[in-house]
Amino acid sequence: MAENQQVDSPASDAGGYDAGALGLDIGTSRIVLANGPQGTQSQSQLNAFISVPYAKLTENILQQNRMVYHRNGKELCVYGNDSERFASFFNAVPRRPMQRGVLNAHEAMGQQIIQAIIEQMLPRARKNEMICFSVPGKGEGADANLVYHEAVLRNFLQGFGYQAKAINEGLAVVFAELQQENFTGIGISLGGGMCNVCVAFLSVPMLSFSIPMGGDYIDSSVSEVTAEPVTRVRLQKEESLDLARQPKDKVASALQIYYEEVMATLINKLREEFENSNSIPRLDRPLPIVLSGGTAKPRGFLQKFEGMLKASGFPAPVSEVRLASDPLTATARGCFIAALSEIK
Amino acid sequence: MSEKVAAPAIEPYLRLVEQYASSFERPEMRLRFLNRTLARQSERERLWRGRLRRFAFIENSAAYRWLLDFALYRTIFEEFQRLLPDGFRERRRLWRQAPVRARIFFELYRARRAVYAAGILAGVMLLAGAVVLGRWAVRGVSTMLDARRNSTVSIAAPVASAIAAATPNGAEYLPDYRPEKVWLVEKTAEYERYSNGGRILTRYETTNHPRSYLRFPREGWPDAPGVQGRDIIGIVYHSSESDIVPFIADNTQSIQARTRGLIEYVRERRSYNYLIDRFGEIHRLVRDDHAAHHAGHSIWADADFVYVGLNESFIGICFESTSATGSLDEQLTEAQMIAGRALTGILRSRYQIADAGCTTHGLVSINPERGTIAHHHDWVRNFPFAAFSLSDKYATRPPSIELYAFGTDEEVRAKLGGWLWEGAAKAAAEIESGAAAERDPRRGLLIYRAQMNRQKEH
Repeated sequence: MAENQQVDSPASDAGGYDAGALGLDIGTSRIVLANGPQGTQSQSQLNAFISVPYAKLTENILQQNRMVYHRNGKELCVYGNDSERFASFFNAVPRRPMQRGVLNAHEAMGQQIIQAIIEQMLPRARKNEMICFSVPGKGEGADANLVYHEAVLRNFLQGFGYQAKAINEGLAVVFAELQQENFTGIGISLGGGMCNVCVAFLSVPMLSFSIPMGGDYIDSSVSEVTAEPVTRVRLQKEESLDLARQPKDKVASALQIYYEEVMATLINKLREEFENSNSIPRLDRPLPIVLSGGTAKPRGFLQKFEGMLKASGFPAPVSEVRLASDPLTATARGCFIAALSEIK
Repeated sequence: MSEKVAAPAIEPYLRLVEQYASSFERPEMRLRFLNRTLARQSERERLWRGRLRRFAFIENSAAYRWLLDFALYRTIFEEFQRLLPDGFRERRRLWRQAPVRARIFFELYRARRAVYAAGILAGVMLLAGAVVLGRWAVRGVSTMLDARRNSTVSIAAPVASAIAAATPNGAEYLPDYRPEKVWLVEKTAEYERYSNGGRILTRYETTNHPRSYLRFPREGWPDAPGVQGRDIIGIVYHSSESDIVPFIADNTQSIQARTRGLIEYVRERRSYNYLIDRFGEIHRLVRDDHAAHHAGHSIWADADFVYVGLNESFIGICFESTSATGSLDEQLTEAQMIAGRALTGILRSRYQIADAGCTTHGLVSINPERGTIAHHHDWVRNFPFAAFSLSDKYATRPPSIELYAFGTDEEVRAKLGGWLWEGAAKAAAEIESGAAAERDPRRGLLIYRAQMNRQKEH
């Protein structure tokens, strides 16, 4: 990285840092940091960037708007939350340093951007503090990349002076949301790049996997079949989609179709893994399922998922299906709890 | 849908861990507790299984499960203790959430060292109590049986009276009596065995100083000069008045231990020439021709001479015995009776000791400061003279009264319970009536001191 100019540094306000632990959810679409008492303080940055040719005028605009960017030779890279705003100026689509839950091999600037975003959020460690960061579970086509992905992120964080420990994303959801059940149940994180699932018993992961489908898959598929730009599809998804109602237009209809496909794939995979696994004990109680992540946010998602789960003949009794208290920060909060529990 | 096979059941211990985990409200604490406890238990199980790989039957046993559960409880408590918050209120709040059983177990765990100590103490006390009770019970039974068998001879007043009654009143001497001829049968480095069955152990024999004394003739009393002598004139019988335990089989070791202690004590001080222990063993502690320090200030006499400071002229025989509590009645075992009789026979035969020279310490002991008799009171009554084929010296007028006009004072009378043996009573009565040779005790004291001085100078 040639130059790095931080106009704004929210990391310096990181509350709860004194606890000596931090939780970091490094997702395909967002990076979320949790800290403070019970992980209640969080901050997030889009895990995206946009690059434009360097021009003094452009740089001035960035500085006037207090945007976070860095100059890389003849390019200016705007990253994090500002990338979305900046993209709207140019009517462009932000690029993703990660794809389907892991580092995007086709994005040359990917690792630098992630490092810059993380550096923007994290304070420098003072006493080798503990940080837990999320990693996806094994899944179709992701197995080999996982090792690399985890190692690179760990190196980043250790480079900032932290003790870094990777936590399965689904397990982090369990930690964040299933305390009353003594961390026993199924945590599902439906993110932008993939869906992560973990079945845990007393905090011990019994089964975990991922499917390479998430919000991005839905957006791109809908965009493809409706010929609408991805940004518009995403806007409609986030603002007005209600999966419990009949769709009003073709975008909504397509969104429902692809949502149902993702849910069906997820439920089928979960059922298969349950049926084929010998490691899950014969449980003496029904399991709760917690859904988290941005993809689980649309209205009606929970009811549709529950209905499809019941219809699938899921092999284990389920006590309830519920949405995480804050779906966007659940993974980060789970990582934070794990980090706190690791402090000696 | 494929069938799920061999899904393991939830281990009971997991439920237990879960129960305790529920006490922690903060998620990271609960998570930490679960992780650490389960990891430790899992690691322990793995280790144990590895070690017991060749002994699969142990792993399948109930004891193995029990031990594993026990270890789990310990782990749970250790982790629980480690994660307890510092603040009292926090602890209290956490504590209220824990199940009652968990609270009780945990408190017991925290107080385990005190519980262990109390348990050990209680165990020791219980054991000690049982031993004491057992010994007390055995001793009680043995003593009762012993009493029935009458194995211990108590020379109590009625017996002594009977013996005294068998002896003719006023029999001061037995001039016709000839001691049985007793001779040495065997002599080894350890003992001497005599023809009358007596056996004298010589293992502890030691020396003091050769006998040498003055005897004062009755003829020309008290002005006649003393006559030098080295022969043994008589025997003074003593009681050790030592600490003794009931004479029962269970106390054998205690009895022997006390005897050894007494022998050492007597030998070191040259207190007696002989000691007869409770099993009837005769120990010679100071050789016969040497004096022992047994009689102290003392007076005795035969038909021709008066003897003072009897250490030099009389042999001291001590019985390991004591008087019954609150009385002057000595206790002799049957073995001591037999041994005492045998030793008396040996000594009388060997040194031609006359019956008149065999007396007891209580009868010869005097106080040279106060001019009183019975300063030491061992065998001041109830010595079994008849059993030893000796005349009753309690009927003999003691020379300390007859010749020196010594008497009794408050202390002596209190000691004797206001009682005075027959010979003493007679002699005292003669002084009262004016028939005695000497009536002034102050003069008697001067005579005694002068005689003792001469003997010492000699």
